[in-house]
Amino acid sequence: MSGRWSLLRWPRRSGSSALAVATALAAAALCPQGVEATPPRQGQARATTPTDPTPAHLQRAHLAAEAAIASLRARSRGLKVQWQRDGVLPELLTALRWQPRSALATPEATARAFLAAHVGLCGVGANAGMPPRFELLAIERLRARAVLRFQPFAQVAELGRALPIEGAVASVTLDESGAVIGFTSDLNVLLAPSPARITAGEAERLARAALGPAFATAQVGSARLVLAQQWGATRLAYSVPTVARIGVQHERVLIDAHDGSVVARDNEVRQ
Amino acid sequence: MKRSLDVCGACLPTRGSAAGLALMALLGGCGTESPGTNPSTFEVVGADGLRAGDGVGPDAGSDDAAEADAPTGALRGRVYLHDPVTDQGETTLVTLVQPISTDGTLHGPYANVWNCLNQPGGPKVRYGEVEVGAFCLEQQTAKVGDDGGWLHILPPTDPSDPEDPFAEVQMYHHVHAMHAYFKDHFGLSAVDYPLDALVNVNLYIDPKIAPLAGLSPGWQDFANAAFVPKDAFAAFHLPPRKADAIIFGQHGKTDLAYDASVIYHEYTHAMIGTTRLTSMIPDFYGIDHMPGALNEAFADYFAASMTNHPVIGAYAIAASGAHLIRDLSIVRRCPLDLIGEIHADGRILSSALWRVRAQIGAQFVDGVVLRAVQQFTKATSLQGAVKLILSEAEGEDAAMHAAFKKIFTEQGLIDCLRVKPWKDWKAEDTVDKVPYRLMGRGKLGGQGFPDGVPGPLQFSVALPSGTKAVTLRWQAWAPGFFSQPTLAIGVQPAKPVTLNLFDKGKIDAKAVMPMSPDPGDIAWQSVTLTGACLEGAAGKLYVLPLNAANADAEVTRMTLTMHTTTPTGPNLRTCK
Ligand SMILES: [Zn+2]
Repeated sequence: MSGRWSLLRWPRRSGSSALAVATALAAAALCPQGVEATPPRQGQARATTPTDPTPAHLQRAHLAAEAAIASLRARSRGLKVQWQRDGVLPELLTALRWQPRSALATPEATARAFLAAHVGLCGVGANAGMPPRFELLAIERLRARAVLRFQPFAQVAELGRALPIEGAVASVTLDESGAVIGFTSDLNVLLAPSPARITAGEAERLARAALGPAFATAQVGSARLVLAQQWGATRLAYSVPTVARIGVQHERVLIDAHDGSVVARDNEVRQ
Repeated sequence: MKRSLDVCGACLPTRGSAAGLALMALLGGCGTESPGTNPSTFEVVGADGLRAGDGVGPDAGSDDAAEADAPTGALRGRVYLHDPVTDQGETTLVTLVQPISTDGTLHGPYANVWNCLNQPGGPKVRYGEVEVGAFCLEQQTAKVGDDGGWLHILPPTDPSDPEDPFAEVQMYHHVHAMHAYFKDHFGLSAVDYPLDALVNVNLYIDPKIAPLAGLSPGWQDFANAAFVPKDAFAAFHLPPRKADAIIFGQHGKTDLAYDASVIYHEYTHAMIGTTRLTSMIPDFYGIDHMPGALNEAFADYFAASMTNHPVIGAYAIAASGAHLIRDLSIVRRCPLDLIGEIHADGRILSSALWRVRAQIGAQFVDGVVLRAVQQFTKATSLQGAVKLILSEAEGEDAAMHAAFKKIFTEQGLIDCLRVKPWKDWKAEDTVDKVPYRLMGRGKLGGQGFPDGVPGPLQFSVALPSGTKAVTLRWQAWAPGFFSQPTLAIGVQPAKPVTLNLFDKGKIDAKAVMPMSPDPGDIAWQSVTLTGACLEGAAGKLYVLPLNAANADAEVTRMTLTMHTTTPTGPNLRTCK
């Protein structure tokens, strides 16, 4: 059975950040505004956030991540970083050790304090990206260790509410003493999405059309607004579940809420 | 918790009727987490003194001794410790976990086992508006004996028995054994609830409807095993279940529930592989399928570690083809052994872990790997996974870390670039018999990849000095279509082709060339390259296969021809 394919996020590469960013941003000018020393508070939206990725914007996001890592490295000298496939944001941090200045009551509070203090890990800072909000998915324990898995959300100004980033997860690992010892993420830089122009009903019709004539009798469920990440941009998208009445398709179709194009199809059934 | 169908299955080939195909599609996985307690007290098998106990091994001492120690048969049962082949047909006496049911059925704290009978009354299956058949009828047939045990339930004399209660006992024991392995030794609690487990799964096709629908009539075999989230049953037009399930088929004389390695593989997916390692996304070099391969690697590795035996599917998978058995003691390397199929490619990491385990022991290796895996996301890369495992090992013990690193390096797992030599090649003649698969636009969305959807692997062509042209040929087809697939290649001298990850995956290459019908054989496609593609190649040309069609395609054969003079022909392409 094949793995789940997904274009919900822009692609990324592993390897050293310098190499990756040099390759990706060969034409990029240096950040004209420099890097913010202090990341914005979570929940603080930025009116200047671009809707489309630009080399300068990606580089700013990368520099924000590097700044966050530098502050962590000051306390964790052996800190190691693996960058995501596109080299912009970190995929994982190891040999990390971070504790809040004063002890917090729960692992969740500690993990949230870590994320809030290092929003640059998610590309926030220097006008680079919108800050995500994290909803706890699960606390998975392994003996005294706890891994807290978070679903990122981002505020959509035109809706006045936050939407989930489809397919993305960020996790924070705590040891038995309550210190943060690991961070992993497949969240990309969040940009302001283009406004919605099509309705949920239209999205459902477009999703059915995307399945093609072979699945004309598919059951199409209710469209749900989400944020999808693809090729560097953040898209407002409708997630439409479909179940074919012939064959074995069980797909989720993502329809761009701005222009109605198909962002991704995710056939969750595998043979 | 978010749920989705995902990587699963015992990696058996799809076969049989359309109904069988549909049933095969019920492969997937997604787990959840719930609090609970663990009443079981298993020990586990390991290479380093971890003792075989109730988890998978027999009761203490010999069967006779165990029976002598057990004046009553309370909680006793007989199971295959591995499978009927490995155990040479011999069952072993074990103590089962105390069920929580009050009716004598095998509903325990971590498994609720159901026999799926070839009898009417199961949920209806519809194709379109037409009722074409039914799922098998779920009942719990294994009942506790008067002595409080299950010793009266033995393997059936007819191995093709599609309703034998022995499969229930076997499933019940091994699911609890694997749960205890993860829970008691490593504290994992992700599946602390009675997971539904179905054995003897078959599907009935109405004989009146079968010819009209192009299906075979009567009861259809299910030659696979899978972890199935509750919602996935709706895809088959069965009512959603109340909870997820693992399902195991009866296929001819093979009962997949008899193979403990397959049970452990599926249960490992349920435990650690349903909320992570599920993505397949582009990177700079193509479609990165390795998260799924890692998922399969861990399911195989922990199944093997649990049994202290490196062979997955010696009985259940072998029934569908000996080449499908996965033996972790056979070393595979990256990138030369990559083929783009996740079960096969997972063997590179699982065989490396098996070697490390042999050197430094199961307890250490399993703990290190689980601590790393628990931090993985849906898209964790091979490189990220290797770094996390090494980091966890380093945090424990320098010598152990060195052992991991040495073997990972030997097997190419560190900084592996997915590039293989293009050479004369025939899928049928390879160990895995797997073609190179190229996904089409129909699956990967409509907006990206203007040059075609890239494959998971690139190929390199070594160019002897004096080479004026090179002919690349492949035999390719799109399953289900008569016409040739629309395929192309991105070509780059001296360095791999790359994708522009910030501009919809456009190809960065010297040229993108179509693979055209070969003048010598209509079943083949070819291109002869000359010009700038070969200039400055520094002896090596890189080729990325591209699929510009909606449908998936498969490459089953490849050939390579060098030319010291530029040939002529309709497929000659000169790179500018
Ligand atoms: Zn699997």
